[in-house]
This record gives sequence, C-alpha cells and structure tokens, in this order.
Amino acid sequence: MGNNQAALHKRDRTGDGLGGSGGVVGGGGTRARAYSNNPHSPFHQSTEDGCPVQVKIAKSDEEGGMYADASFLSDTVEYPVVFKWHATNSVPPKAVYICGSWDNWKRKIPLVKSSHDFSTIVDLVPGKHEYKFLVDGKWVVDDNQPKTDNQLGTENNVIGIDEADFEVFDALDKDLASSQAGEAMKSTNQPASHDTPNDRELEKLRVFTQEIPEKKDFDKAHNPPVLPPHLLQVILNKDTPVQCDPNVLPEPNHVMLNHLYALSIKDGVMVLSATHRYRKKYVTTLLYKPI
Amino acid sequence: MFLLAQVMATANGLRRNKAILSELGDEATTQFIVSKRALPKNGLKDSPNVHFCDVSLPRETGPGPAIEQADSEEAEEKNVIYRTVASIPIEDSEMVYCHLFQLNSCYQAMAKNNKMIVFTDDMNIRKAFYALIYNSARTGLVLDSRTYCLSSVLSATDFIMVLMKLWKFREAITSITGLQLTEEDEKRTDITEMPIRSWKEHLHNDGKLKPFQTIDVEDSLYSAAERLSSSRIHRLPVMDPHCGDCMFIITHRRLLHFIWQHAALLPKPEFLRERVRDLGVGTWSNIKYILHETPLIDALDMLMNEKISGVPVVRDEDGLEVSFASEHNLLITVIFS
Repeated sequence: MGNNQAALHKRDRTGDGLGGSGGVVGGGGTRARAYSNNPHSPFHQSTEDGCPVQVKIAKSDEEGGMYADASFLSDTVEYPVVFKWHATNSVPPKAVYICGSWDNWKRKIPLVKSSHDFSTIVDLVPGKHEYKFLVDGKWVVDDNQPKTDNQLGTENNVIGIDEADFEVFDALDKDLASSQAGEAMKSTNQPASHDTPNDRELEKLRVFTQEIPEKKDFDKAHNPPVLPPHLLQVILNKDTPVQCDPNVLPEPNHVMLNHLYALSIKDGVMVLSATHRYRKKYVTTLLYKPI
Repeated sequence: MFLLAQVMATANGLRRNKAILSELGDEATTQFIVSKRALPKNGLKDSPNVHFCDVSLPRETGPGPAIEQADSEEAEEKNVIYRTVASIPIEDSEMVYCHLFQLNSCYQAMAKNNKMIVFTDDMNIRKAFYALIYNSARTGLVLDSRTYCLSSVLSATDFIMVLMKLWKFREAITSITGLQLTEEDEKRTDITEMPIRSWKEHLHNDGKLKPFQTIDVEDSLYSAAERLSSSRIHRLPVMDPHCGDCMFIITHRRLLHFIWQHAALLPKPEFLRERVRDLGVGTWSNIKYILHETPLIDALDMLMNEKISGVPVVRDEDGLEVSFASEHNLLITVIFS
C-alpha cells in the first residue's frame, strides 16, 4: 500500500490548504476506498507545485459523511475507477487529461504521472460511460480498451461500471489484500480496478525474461553494500594471551559463523578463514594457499 | 549407603542426581555416570561392573533442583526426559584418570573454538613456517592441492629437518670443493623454496616419513593417548568420520588440560602425592644435555638424532640446569635471527 499512502499524504496537504471543513476520503490507514456520496466530487488542481492532485471533500453537514458506508445511501453510489494512460513512445507526454460523459464532457481531469504511466481515480456511478484522453493537446483513445463511435464521427473509449464487480472486490479484500488486487487487474485487464496500482502490483503483471538488463540500470549502485558492523569483530585479529593455548580462540558470536574472512594477499600467499559450528563447539580454519 | 556420584558428562546436561544413585549404587564406591549417548564408541570395556539404566533428568538445562524422588513420575512426567546412563564404579582410585579417558570421546577434549591452520601442498616451506610462527602455532595440516584431502602434518620437527638438511648439504659441498659458496650456489641449493609436497616426497624417499595418522572424533581419549605414546608422535588430528573434516589436533597438552578441568570433581589418586623420581616418570639416566657454548647446529642435530623434542641447557662450571630448549624455541630463534 506504499503508493496509496504516499498519495494520501499529498491529498492531506492540499486538503489542509483548503480549510478544515473537509475531510480526506479514504484515510485512516485502511484501504484507500473512496465512497463518496457527493454526486459532484470536486477535483482541484493544485497549482503551487504543478502537480495535479485530486481532492475529494465530504460534506460536513452529514453525520459520518467522511466514511459513509454504501448502505447509508439511497440514491446514487459512486465507485472509484482507475484510469490509466500508458505512454507508448520512449518520450512520455508532458500532460494527460481525461474527459468523460459522466459530467457531460465538462472538465478536464488531469492524470498523475508515475514513471511511465499516467493515472487517476474518478468516482463514477454504475452504468456506461464514454471517455477520451487529451494527451499533450491531442484527443486520443486507448486502443487497448473497448471503443465506441461517437456523433462526431470519431471514436471514444467506453467503460461499464457494474456494482457487482465491486462486491467481488470486497470479498477479495477480506481474503488477501494486495495480491488479490494484482490478480484482479491481471484477469480483468480493465481500468475498473478499485485500487491505485502500485509498483509492487505492477511488477506482478510483468513477465520474466532471459534478457540481460542494460548496465545503466545499475549505475546508481557504485559501491558494494556496507558491511554490517557486527562482522567487523574479527576474532582472529584479537590478541590471545601468551599463557593460552595458541590453537584456542575466543568463542565466536553466532553472526560470524559461515563468513569468509580474507587477509590481503602478501608475498604471493592468500589466507582465507571461516568459522563453522561443530555440534556445540566451533572450528576456525585458516587456509594458506599460494597463488 | 549412597555416595555422591561424579557426574562427568556435563556437556550433555547430566548433573548430580540423587535419583540416579538410589537406582544405581548400592556400594560405597565413587562412580562415573555418563550418558550412553555420549560414550565414545571404543571406550567402554565389557566389564560386569558397568550398569545401564534409564534415569529421569530435568528437562531444563538451566540451574534447578534435581528431582528428589524417582517415584513422583506423574507429577514430573512433563518436565523430565529419560536417558540411558551407564554407571562405572571406580574400584581403584589409581585408575581414575584412565577411566576418565575411556569414558570421554575426543570431542569432549575439544576447545570451544579451535584454530586450524591448513596449507595446500604447493606452498613453499619457508612461507609455511613463517605462517606458523605468525599464528604462534606449532602444527599445520597439509592439504593435497588437487584433491583437497588431508595428506600430512607440518610441524616444528619438519622445520628442523629442513634446516639440518640444508646445512649439511652445503657443508658437504664446501668441504669437497674447498670453496665458499657463491650467492648463486646458495640460491640453487636452497631447499626451503621447495613446495611442501616435494619435501614430504623427499622424506618418504629417505624413509623418514611417518605415516599420517588420524583419529575419529567419537573415539575415546584413551585410544588417542595410546596412539600418541605408541607412535611417538605429538600431534594427532581428530577427524569427523561423516564429513571427513579435521576438528582439532590432540596434543599432550590438550589431554593434560582435560584432566586438569575435571580433576576437582574426581578423587585424587594416590600416585599424585608420590615423588616424580619414585614413579619413574621422565628420563633419569643418560640424559642428553647441551652447554651454553654448544652451537645451535649441534643442538638441533642432537634433537634429531636422539628423536627428542627438547633438551636441557646446562651451565658448564657447576652442571646446574639453567634453561630448556625445545623444538619450538629453536624454531623461533632461527626464524627471527
């Protein structure tokens, strides 16, 4: 849920800026399920940071409006629907908006960019909706989604929202949260997911290949990971008192076991050492090998 | 009638336990009580005095009172484990250390953490000796560099033999040719640059190579002591029969240390109070010694020829012993001078 939480923080911030009367839907550390009973969920675009942020404000005059359960509602229930735009070109578009028949094509809803994808969640009532993407000023449809003709002689994407779908997700939620969501996305392959896709779930949709990744993917990691500090206590480096048996070492810490220690190669001789447990005792072996 | 038993197998969680005694002992003798599982495989004699029985032991290994009564089973059922123990009465207190060795496997004499130095046999001898000195160790194991199987042991004795060989060889050359060795000759005749494998082959050809002996970690300490004295060796590698790894090297020192660790629990044998001379321990006639003025090479020669590991150093004028030179002393002296 990492991605969801991050998104919530963003909403929090903007929500605070808008005044205390509103609450942020889907908070509380639970699933970011947004059940809004407001038929006109307002979307605000934050202009300060240039990042389009979606905010939902529940009405304060309703008892428990923030977390209103679907059963309380008599007329229309809205379901959160994820819309995604996959950037097919190597250069991702600068801005992607979505317009739809749900508000009579009135507003351009910005999609939030995340690495290669643009996505947003729109609360929709059950039924058929037509929608279209505005990518860098051009109206386009997603060829991977169901399409329909419009009156203007072009094409629109179409989505059907069915209440029953969400009940299934509810049941799935109870079973196992995140993996099930990923599976659901995989099997339906349609934007009617109730969950913001996060990297972990997207990972499951990818296929494993035999292709060797390019070197630049690893450029960030210049150095090997730092050695844990407890491994720096090398018992072979400790001085043993003269009166002790030179073949007896102090008792090793369990973390040191089965680690390879090496002495820098000197005079053409390599020295390696490892400590192993033998029943209730230990054996530390030093191997001298010419190279 | 029940006497205190000396519980030896401390490593196996056995402690003094009155319940054991009520079942086992009806004679006023001291007994060893050891877990049957911990017994070395060749240590126990088929003696009619050895009894086996099951005893209850507290499950916890931490400190706690021993179980008082054997018949309070149902109450203690959950807290005890049953283990077969052997009780061996000590009829003769003179034999107490002998029994101690018979009833403990080599594993028991192992230190908590043992350092093993291993060389591959393509290592040159000079570097191997430097490594031994650096680790203040007296013995290193030698691995076959191709198969990685243990093949022999490299010790201070090897060092002195190498040294003697080198010395005598050069001496012979100078006496035949009558010329001092040039630097080139010295390099050519320097056998310390040969790998350990060649050195061992050389010894083999001279008939001086002792067979490589090892002992099983489950064997009794008694058999280890027997091997050490019968083969006149100082170091006996202890092997695990399952994985073939060497666990540690049994030395006289290790055995004495083991006795010392347990001596407090054991009855004192009579002979400890007697004079060393009366017991006939050690060498009392025809003692080899060296004088202050004795050259080092002669001292080394003596160690090799007499097959001894140390020699007393005696002051010339009054015959008082002032020092003792052992193989290891000499090794350090030679390497650092």
